[in-house]
Amino acid sequence: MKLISVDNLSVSFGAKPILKDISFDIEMGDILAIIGPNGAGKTVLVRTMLGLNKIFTGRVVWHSRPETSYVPQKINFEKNFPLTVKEFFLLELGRGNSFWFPSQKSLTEIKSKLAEVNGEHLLNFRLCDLSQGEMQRILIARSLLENPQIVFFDEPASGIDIGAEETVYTLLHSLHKKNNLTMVLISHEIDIVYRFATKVICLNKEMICQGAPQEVLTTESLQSVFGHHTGIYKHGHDLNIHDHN
Amino acid sequence: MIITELFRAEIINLMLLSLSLGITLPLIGVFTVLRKEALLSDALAHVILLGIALSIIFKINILLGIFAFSILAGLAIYLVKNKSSLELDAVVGVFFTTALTLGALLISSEELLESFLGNLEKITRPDVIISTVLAAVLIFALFYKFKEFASASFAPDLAQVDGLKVQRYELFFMLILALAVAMGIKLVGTLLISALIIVPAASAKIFTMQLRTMALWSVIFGVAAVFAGLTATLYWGTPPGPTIILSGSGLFFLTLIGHLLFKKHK
Repeated sequence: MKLISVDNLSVSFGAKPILKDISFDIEMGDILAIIGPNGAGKTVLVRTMLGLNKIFTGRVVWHSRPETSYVPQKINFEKNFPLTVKEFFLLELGRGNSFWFPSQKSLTEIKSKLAEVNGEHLLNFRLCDLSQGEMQRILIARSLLENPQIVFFDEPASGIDIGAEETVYTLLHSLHKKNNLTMVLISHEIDIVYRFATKVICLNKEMICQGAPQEVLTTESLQSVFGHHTGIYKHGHDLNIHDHN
Repeated sequence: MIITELFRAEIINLMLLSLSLGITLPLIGVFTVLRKEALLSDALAHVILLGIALSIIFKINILLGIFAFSILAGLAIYLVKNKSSLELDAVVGVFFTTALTLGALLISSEELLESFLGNLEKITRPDVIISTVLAAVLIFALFYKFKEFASASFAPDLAQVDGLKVQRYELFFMLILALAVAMGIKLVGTLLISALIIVPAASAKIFTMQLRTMALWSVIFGVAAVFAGLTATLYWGTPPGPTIILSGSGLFFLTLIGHLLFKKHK
């Protein structure tokens, strides 16, 4: 079942073209990976789909309005602002959940989401005291509150060390399997995209390739996206990318 | 003599006004600090100066002029900020300087000083009634929608994806700020009103670890500053605006020193 259709989407900021004539569909239950070099327009594409960027031509059609969540790369907030992880989660919990006097049920739900990202110990920490990796885990846990049906991740493993990165993707994959969670994720990790995504979009301001990762992630397509110095080799079930430079 | 004066209606009026301002303005301050928009209230206050000048020239009710200009300024800043590519500090700078210049040109130097620093004698009973009722409404709105204001201020993108009408809350907040600034102008003055919004919130931010406790301590600091300042004004006849703000600043520095000492011994 189609969830989102993007038709002939183009975005320019002033005279600078960001995205040109992008079209694709997202089906319910897809894990769509968006790959591309820095400045390829990946974040702008996600923000446009979410309605956060309103300057575009073409169409973004949501065929239904499922519970949606978003994990940005980072959030900018006032330095040393006293907002704890618990309060940050309480802001997200919907109607009937008091910010001033949270119910036991709300607190239990918050703790269970934190446990999924191994972050229970961070509950009473201020957000401004967290490391980048801890903040990323908090953003992921927060996105899972209220049981969303689709989650957009902008480089969910950025700032997380390699072991934890694998844990994040394993968590996302298990959520996808358990709840048929639809996911849109921007990622640089080609091997992870290869293993977890059901569909991939290769972007470099325009659409370079799209389809199942096993079909479209070829040396040619990756060279079109990342440059001619890039190549791939297979190792067991994994796909590795290497740089000739 | 002080005891008998305390029971006079004027004193009760002043206390009501102080309580209204001491709770409302610092509570708003929590959000202006969160939104990194601490100077916004300065711009609104100086546009009000222009409102006061025009009210005097055209002989209309000054309180009406204050509220009308504050709301108009709030709406204008909101529109320019959202419809142009200018950052808020640039928009605030333009409004601030233009209104201040026009106000200063149109108003006599005596009235200018009064508008800058506030004047107890110019506060009337209707001022107090309007401010008290308005403060009750604003405090209710801020507490009732605290979660929404905090979400829209802290991470507006996340809030919008979660389904919150962020722009609506931004406009709503701007109007609350405009009304609160207008409410406090006669007591504290245009030059210093923003200090009553920022200083208590800044004092609370020094040592609090949670947003909820920061909001409560901001209010405590605000009420304490207003009452201490007014008591000093009644004793020594000093202008209320600077006295209230100096009380707030005193609390800020005491908190800062206490926090530094406590941290050192921890």
